[in-house]
Amino acid sequence: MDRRTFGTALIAAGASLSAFGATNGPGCVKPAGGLDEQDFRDYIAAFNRSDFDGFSKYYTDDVKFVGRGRNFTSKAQVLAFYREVKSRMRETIKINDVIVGETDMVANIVTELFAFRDWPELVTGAIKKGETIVSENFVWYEMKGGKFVNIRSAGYRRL
Amino acid sequence: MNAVSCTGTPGMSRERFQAYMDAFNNDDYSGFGDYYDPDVVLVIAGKRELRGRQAIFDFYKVVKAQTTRTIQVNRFIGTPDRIAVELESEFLALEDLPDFSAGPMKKGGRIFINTFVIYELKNGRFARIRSAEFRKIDRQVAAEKA
Repeated sequence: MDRRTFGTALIAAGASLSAFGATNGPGCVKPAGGLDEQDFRDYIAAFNRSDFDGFSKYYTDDVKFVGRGRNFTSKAQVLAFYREVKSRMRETIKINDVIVGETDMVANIVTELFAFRDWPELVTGAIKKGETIVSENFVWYEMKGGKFVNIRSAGYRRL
Repeated sequence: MNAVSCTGTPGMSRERFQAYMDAFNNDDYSGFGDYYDPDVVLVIAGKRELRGRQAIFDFYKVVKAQTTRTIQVNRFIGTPDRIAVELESEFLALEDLPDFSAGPMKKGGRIFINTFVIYELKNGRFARIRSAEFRKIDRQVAAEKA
């Protein structure tokens, strides 16, 4: 193999490694579930700016949501819950990591809750006006047809 | 040119991960220990941190002496450098365990715990493992008789 052929082979090998090793790289196709890492980042960005239409478009009508003490079986229930949450506090999610498979994805997120007023009945523990609670969570999403059908959250640690 | 999935080729297949779980369930320390990088770090529920293979072996030897623990893999995601799994662990208490790490247990009682676990890979082995508890179901002896 001459130098030029060898160089071409290296480039081809590099392109192949890049295509297989990267997520969301150019030329690759979305996972079978229809959502990739950028979709997830867009979803969280919509959530953080309280864009209810923007983030709820990622839910099926019968999405199942199992959070820490919060269980819902429809998009309407999830939205009703977050409308209440966001009227009482600012919830901001930071993405540490997203692991995307063909039909499932797992996100390692940090959730910051800042209370606008007291909420003694908050299911994860009472919070007082002005108080901030920060936690790290692993959230498991199952997806189908470009929407989340099942969302389950596990608390990793309180920060 | 065939389209390539954006998820990439997994650094560890589900079959290979299942072999790890089988070794773990069979108390094959050499078998499951071979999956750990020498500098592996295991963080359980963000609280307990174990560094190195021996620390992990020491921890599990205590757990396995007190309970029969069986783990099944419910869901699996593989990417080139990380995998994520949902595990369902069943603990059967072999004796009264008032200070057991997963919660107090009576002899014969069972606890079922679902965890989401993220494994970071290095040279095909686990370099960092972090687990978060999703659900715990406690079935003590009295409840089983009912």
